[in-house]
Order: sequence, then C-alpha cells, then structure tokens
Amino acid sequence: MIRFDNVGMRYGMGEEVLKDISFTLEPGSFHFLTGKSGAGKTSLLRLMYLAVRPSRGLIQMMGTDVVTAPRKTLPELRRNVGVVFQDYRLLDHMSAFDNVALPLRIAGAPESQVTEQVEELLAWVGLKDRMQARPPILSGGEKQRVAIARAVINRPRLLLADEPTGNLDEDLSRRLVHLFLELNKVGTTVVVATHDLRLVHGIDAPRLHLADGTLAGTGDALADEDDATNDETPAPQPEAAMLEGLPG
Amino acid sequence: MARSIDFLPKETIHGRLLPWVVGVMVFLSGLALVLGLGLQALTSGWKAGLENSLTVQIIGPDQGVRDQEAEAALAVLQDWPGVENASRMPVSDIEGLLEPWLGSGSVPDALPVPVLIEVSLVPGTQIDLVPLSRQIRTVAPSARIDGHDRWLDDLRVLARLVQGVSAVILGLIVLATITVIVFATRAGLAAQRDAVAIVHLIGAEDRQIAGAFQRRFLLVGIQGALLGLAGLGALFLAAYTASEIIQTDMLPSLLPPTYVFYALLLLPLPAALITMLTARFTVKRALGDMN
Repeated sequence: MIRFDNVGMRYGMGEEVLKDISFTLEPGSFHFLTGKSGAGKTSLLRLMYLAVRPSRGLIQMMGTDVVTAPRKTLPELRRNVGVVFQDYRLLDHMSAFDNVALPLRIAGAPESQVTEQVEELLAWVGLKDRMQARPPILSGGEKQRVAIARAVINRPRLLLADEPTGNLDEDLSRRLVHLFLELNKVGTTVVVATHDLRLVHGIDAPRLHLADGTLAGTGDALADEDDATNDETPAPQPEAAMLEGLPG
Repeated sequence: MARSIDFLPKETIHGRLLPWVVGVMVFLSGLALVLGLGLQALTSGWKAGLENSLTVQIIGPDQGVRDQEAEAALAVLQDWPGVENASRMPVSDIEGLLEPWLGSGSVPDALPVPVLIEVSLVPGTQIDLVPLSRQIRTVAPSARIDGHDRWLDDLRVLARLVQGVSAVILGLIVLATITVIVFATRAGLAAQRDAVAIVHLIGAEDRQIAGAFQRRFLLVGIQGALLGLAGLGALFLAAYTASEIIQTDMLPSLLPPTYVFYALLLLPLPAALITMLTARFTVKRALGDMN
C-alpha cells in the first residue's frame, strides 16, 4: 500500500523535519502514528496524503512512485486516500451534506448516488438532523463527525486521521475508533496519528513512532519512555478502557 | 470522467465592482469600434462619391469669358477617351452648394460664381490628368481640373489612421481587462485558498477547480458586457436626440451605420470569453505552482 524508503523532508531551506524515514504499510493494515508534538507526525501524514512531496527518498503509494509521478496523476491517487484533518478543514459556506458529498461529486458520482450515500452516512454518524447545518453552527464533535464522514464517503483504500479524537469525549472517541476498525476490517488501510495513549493502548495495532523527525521504531513492542515525558499525554490507561463498547 | 464542481461560496469572490469595471471596458471598446468602423464608413461613402469623377472649374473674370471657355472645355472633355459624360452644372445647383455659407436665394449677381463641369469617367478607368489639363488649358486658360486625388489620398490616410488608432485603443482595452481579471482572479483565489486546498487534497483536478472560477468570471463578463451595452445604448439615444435637434447637412450623421450596431451587439461574446479564459488560465497557472 505504502512504502517509504529513506525519505527526508524539509520546508523551504529549513532543517529536515523528517529524516531517513523507511517503512512499509501492508494493504488492510492498521497503524498508529505516535510521537510528541513537533515530532513530525503531521508532516509524515502530509506526505501520505500527497499534500507535499519529499525532499529526498522514495515514496510508493498504491504502486505509484509519487516522487516522480506527473502532477496530473495525483488527483486520482488522492481520491483513494481519505483524510481526517486535525482542524477538520470543512468548507464553512457549505452544509454538512455538501461537505460530505464533495469527494463523491469530485469523483463524478451521479447525484442520486450522492444523496443516498451521504444521507446514510450522516445518519450513521448521528447527524441525520444536522445535514443542512453549516460548520460554523456545528459543535466541535459534530464538525469532527462531518470531517470523518467526508473522509470515508468514497470508501478510500487508505484512511489517514490526524489526532482524530482530539476534540471528542471518551464515548465519541470510542465510536470513532470503532468506525476505523470496521473500515479496516473491510480492507481499508488505516493510519491514525495520535498522542492519545488511551487510544493506542486500547487497540492491538502496530505503531510508527516518531521522535525528532526520525522513525524511532515500528511495531507494537515499543517502549513508552518517550511518551512518558510528553506532558500533553495522559498516563497510559489499561487496554480494557478503550475497548469498552467495541464489538467482539 | 470527472465533472466540474461548484465549491465556491455563493457570495462574490471577486468584489462587487468587477462587473462595473468590465462594463466600462466594454463601453470604451464600443466607442473605439464606433470610431474605427463608423468613420471608415463615412470616408468610404465620400470616396465612392469622389472616385470615377472629375470636376473642372472655370474661374474667368467675367461671365462671357467663362461661358466661352466652358463650351471649349466641354468639347475637349466629351471627346477625351475614358470620359463617360461631361456636363455643366446648372447655376441653381451651384447656388445650392453655396447656400450653407450664403443663405438661400441670396447669391448677389455681382459675385463671380465659377462654372463647374462635372465629369464622370467610365468605371474603372484611370485618366492621366496631365495631358488632359494641358489640352483644356489651351482652350480654357482659367480652367482648374480637380481629380479629387488629393482628397482621396487624404481620406485614405485618415481612414487608415483612424482604424489604426481604434485598433490600438481596442488592444489596450483588452490588455487592461485581462490585467484586471488576472488580479481579481488571484485575489479570489487567495481569498478561497483554504477551499481550493481542501478540494485539491480530496482529489479535485486542476480543471475542476479552474472550472469553478471560470464559471464565476464568465458571469462577470456577461454582466459587464450588458452594463457596457446599456451605457452605449444610452449614448446613442442621446446622439440620436441631438442629431434630431441639430438637423444640419453640414455635419455627418452622429449615428454610426447599422452594421456597427450589429458589431456592438457581438461585444458580450469577446468580453465573456476574455474574462472566462483569463480566469481559467490564471487559476491553472496558480495551481501549477502548488504541489
């Protein structure tokens, strides 16, 4: 699905924010991306959702070398990637319905299909009665659900989420993780960037851990030393807390 | 096949004044067209009247000499190859020509009015005036031959000059319009940067994004063109009213010929095309600079 090989990235002439990143994500896998604030999580996600190209190294996504791929081939790749942005990035002048419909309309889906799928998904995330509301009058949690609905409406092959539970209460976080797991079960590759250790410890999934722009390790056996020093992060909770309410 | 999407806010993205700016441009280009085409029509009308004709003036000191010289000159002219017809202009017509300056029926008998001989040529023939005037001068020393060449040449130069000037004015207006639209598009693009970035990241192609802007600017072009045409309409109405009031033969009609009006009615097309394509090109270029 994704292969990074010695990827480095810098903004302008600044220092490299990512150095020598190498990893492979298999199709249908579920990964957490962890690390302190400023460790490079968002930059790594930006590379994955093709907002930027790396300064060096090789990135392969869904069989395409995105470093050398011509610009006009990227939209097609992007349509296979769903992104939940940390700040939602909804279009304020559009209703929740139109925001969620956007990826389908961009992909050229017929309007009947757009209506059906969007209504169904918004009902599923509990926004059936808020479909015509615009983001400025939605609460933080509602906006986040709209953002999530927009990210998954197209059934992307890759779902990237940047701090998706940042503004959600525990109950909503659980439901959200549930949704991600469900999508993962049907084959979507999922990467969740978070420093919410309750989330990480609640799910048995491998981690990509970033520290100072380098990949400190992959796999689930990683020590939590780095996280323990992160004052933004609450102390690790027992796994059971996160799994409550999840099926199976 | 990806279709175009409208992701821009319903409210204006280019400022409310832009259609007015385009309107002014359309109005000015309309004036330039009227100047170029209208004056060209006027000069070609004059030219058609002057080509294939000569005028011989006999300005002898007294009536007897003038009549005598006129008869002799007519005889030469009627036999000259290429001359279709030569006839003396009746005195009443000459007085008619003087009327705008002297008033009707008031040509004093003491005023020596020259004899005018109108000569029409076989269409398409060119007559060398030098031998003809030499021949006429031998029988009518006070004759002056006017082949209208000087006038025709001047008119040709004037027509070309006016056409050139109006073409330059039109070109400048188009350039100014393009510049204004480029700036307005860039401003709109900057104001909508977040929206553009979002649709870009969820897979919109450049032409879909450009299409959304293009539609807005097409509307601007149409609105502007209608405003400009309305202004031109008001101007011509005023000119028509003025020419009804002035009622003079001394001035050419203040209104351009009909085909110029048809040309003006076509103005919305280039206006809409220019605004639309400029916006499209500007957006595509700006997007090309993005990753």
